[in-house]
Amino acid sequence: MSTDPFDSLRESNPAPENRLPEPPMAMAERIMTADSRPSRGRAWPGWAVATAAAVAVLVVGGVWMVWLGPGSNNVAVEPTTSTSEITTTTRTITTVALDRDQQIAALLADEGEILQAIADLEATVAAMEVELAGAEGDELAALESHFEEASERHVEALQRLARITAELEALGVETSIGPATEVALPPSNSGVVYFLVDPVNGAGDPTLIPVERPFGLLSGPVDDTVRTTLEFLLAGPAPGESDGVPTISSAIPAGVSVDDITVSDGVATISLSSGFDGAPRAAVAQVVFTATRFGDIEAVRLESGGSAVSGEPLERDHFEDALPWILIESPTHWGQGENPLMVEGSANVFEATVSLALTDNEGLILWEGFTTATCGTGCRGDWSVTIPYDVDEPQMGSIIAWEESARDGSQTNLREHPIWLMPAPRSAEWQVIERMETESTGTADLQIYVPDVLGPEPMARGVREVIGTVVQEARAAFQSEEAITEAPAGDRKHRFSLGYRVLWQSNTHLVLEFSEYYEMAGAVHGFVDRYVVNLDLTTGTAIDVTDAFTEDGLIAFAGAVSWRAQDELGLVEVGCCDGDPTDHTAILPGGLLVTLDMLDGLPSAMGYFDLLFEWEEIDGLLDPVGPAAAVREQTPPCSAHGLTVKPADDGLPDAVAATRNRILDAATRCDWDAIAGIAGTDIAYTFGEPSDPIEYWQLLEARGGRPLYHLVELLNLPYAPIDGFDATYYVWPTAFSYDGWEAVPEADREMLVGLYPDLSEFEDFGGYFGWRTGITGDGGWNFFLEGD
Amino acid sequence: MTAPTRPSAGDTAKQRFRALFARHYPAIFGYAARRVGHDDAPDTTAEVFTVAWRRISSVPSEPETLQWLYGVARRIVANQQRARRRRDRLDAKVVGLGVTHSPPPAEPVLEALHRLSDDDKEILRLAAWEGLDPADLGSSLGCSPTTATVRLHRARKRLAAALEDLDGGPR
Repeated sequence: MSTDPFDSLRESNPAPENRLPEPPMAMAERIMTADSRPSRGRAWPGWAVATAAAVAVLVVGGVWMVWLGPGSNNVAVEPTTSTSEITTTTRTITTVALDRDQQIAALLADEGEILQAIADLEATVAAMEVELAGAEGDELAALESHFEEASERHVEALQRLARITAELEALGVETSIGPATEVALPPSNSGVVYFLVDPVNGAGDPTLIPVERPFGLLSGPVDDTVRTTLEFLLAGPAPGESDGVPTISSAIPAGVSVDDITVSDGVATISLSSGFDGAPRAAVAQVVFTATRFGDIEAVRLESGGSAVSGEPLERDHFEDALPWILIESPTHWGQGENPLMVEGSANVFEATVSLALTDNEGLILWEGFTTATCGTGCRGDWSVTIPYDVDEPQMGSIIAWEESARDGSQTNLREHPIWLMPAPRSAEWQVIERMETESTGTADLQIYVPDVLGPEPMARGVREVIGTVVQEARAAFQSEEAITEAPAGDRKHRFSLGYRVLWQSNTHLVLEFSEYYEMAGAVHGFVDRYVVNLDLTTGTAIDVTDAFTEDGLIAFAGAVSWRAQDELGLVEVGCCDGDPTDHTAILPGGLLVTLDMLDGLPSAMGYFDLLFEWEEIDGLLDPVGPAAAVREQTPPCSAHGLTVKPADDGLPDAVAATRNRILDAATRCDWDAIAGIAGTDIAYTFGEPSDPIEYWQLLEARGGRPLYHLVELLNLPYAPIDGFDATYYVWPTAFSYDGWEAVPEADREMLVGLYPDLSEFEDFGGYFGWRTGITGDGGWNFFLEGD
Repeated sequence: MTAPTRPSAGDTAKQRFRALFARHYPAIFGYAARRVGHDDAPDTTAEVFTVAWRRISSVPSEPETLQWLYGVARRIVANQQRARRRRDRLDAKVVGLGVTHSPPPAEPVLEALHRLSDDDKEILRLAAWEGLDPADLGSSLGCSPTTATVRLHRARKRLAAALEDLDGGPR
């Protein structure tokens, strides 16, 4: 189907505008007569408050941390628990006759419906609770009866669900915890041992932690990896580990040795020397976890000095008390992370939700997201997540995992693993840029991969909102409707994880990547969403969100890439697409052509963007000194060229008038050096990160901002003196000197029309925030800037 | 920015109500007709304006009035649909049959819409049929324009996916 379904939907409007009735005014009179006394007003209905975002976001030095708030988790405990039990179980359908199949199908369908009803009711009850809080009098009584009714139906629905579950079980549809994922086999060139680590905040007993031991440390070849690994375990932590922070320790007494190991039917019989007699329970846990890390060992029969330590073979399940709430199994403590990083572990946390972040050696967050374990809120489940990241050089980083407090959303049960991060291949764009510097013509075809920090605050706010909404939506969808309505009956998503990162950033656009993974009926499904977000810089509002994998998104993305290329290559002007919606090509000056296309040419959600650079004869634009130096030699555009200069107003002090005239002279001659001389280094020119006023204005000129035009036309207007506490400032335009927009007289407003045809934005804002400039009484040029 | 007007005299309230009724009746009727059908639309519309009259002092002034009315209409329609579903289930129980669902609409895009969640349905209809822009969607749904933009985007994707399922599915 080629047409957009949304357009089809528009055309299917059952009550189009032109077929609507005239207002029956008699009805208005009847309404007023029937209910003659309007009630006392309330500000805004409570349901509006109920939708307030539960996502708190903190910006730390341009880096993002998202805490997922408790959201809907704090509704009644009972329904939440039962829903999560259902979504985290596996249904195994055993041998059943045909008619049973039908019965089961019907029951599963009913179950889906009732789960949907429960989710609806929970939402209704939660919304009502909010509304009840703000109600009074008759309204309160009416709401209370509705609330009771909804609560009753909720209980009924839960009872019906219990009956359906019982019937399903009677038909042989078993409810059981999903099978544990096999822990990855340790690579043959190293073994993993389990030591004990002190908890992060110092409270509680030490818990198990996996630590890697490379066999390369040994002089000879390793024949028996199990024995060698156990010997590493018995040797205890290395000096750097035992006196580091946090402290790594072992509960196994010193001097214990391995007498014998045999493995049969998944059970390893390990005989240790008599020194192990009387070792604490944590020591036994260390041995069991170390041995069962091997895929072919499920349980351990442990002997010490020839006598059995326990009656029956010991499994991992017996040692829940020795585990942290969140255990990161892979990568190991100080292990080397692959790129992308696959993180696996187990957890016993509220609602099975494990929050994770990956940080680099400076503690900056490279990735953040969450995942769900196969079981939670009272039972231990497995989890895994794949984290994409990019670093410039090998470096230390950390995986941080925590449980979000069900009470206040704070981080609890924090677990941190130092790991080594490995760089992905060097930024492909820079490789191309380097080639451009040495080769006069060429082409390069590359995939884009550039994580970045975020930009100025309004943009950051918009992004925060986009991210918050997507995260909330994805999570809510997993927890309620999609898990129930979209999955085929009997298939439940067992795990879910979502992460995001900023792929691209320009002055107006961002490309955000969201990766969602979920496991359903044992199979892992994953998809990547990329959104091109077009932001209004002044307000931080998303003007448009486009799917990066569509035609529209491609064009928006081409625009974003072009802006980026402009920044990084120092190019002066960038065009994109020339208004042709089918053209994904941005033609840059100097013969550089950027073509964007999907790698497989198909608009599918699993595609990757392909960036094709073609260049030739780019003399003067890119020289060996570097792209930034090249652009300096270009003549920057100048919007003040040839503008008429009016004489200074009478009454302007001589020193001020002299500076004014020098500025006008320099600007209309486009003499940047002269402008720089007058501006000096102390002039205020931006509310952002200061660099150099001339560079800043040139950049604005290059982007069509026309600061010099505004400068000349402002100084041609009448001035207004403002008394500062240490000096008198002579400012242009006069509108800037008033306290608020309402105070600006009509005549002063009209002066601005040449510069700002639409003055309504100042009215909305309540003050003038356009370009303005000021000179102090002694002739110093004090400021020239715009914005709030 | 625009504070709710709080008329003190009853006559002012009446004038205000008449004005907003005359101005917005067609739009609210359209909203109701698109969701509950033309037969039930007059009743639903009357109910919306009854609420507006009872709360005339908290109805925001223009240009936010219509969004407020849409919000009221949305909750009234949702209540009616919940009540209807409950009635259907009760009827079905009495007759001893499974719950019957109303037949899905014939047009593919409407059938696809029918399969989406209530939230998705609503934001799509508000955008496609009522023609609301992100700011209006936001104030009608009680969220920010950005959130509304993202939600609409996701809902559109799900609509396309649902339609594709219909096209590709056994028919």
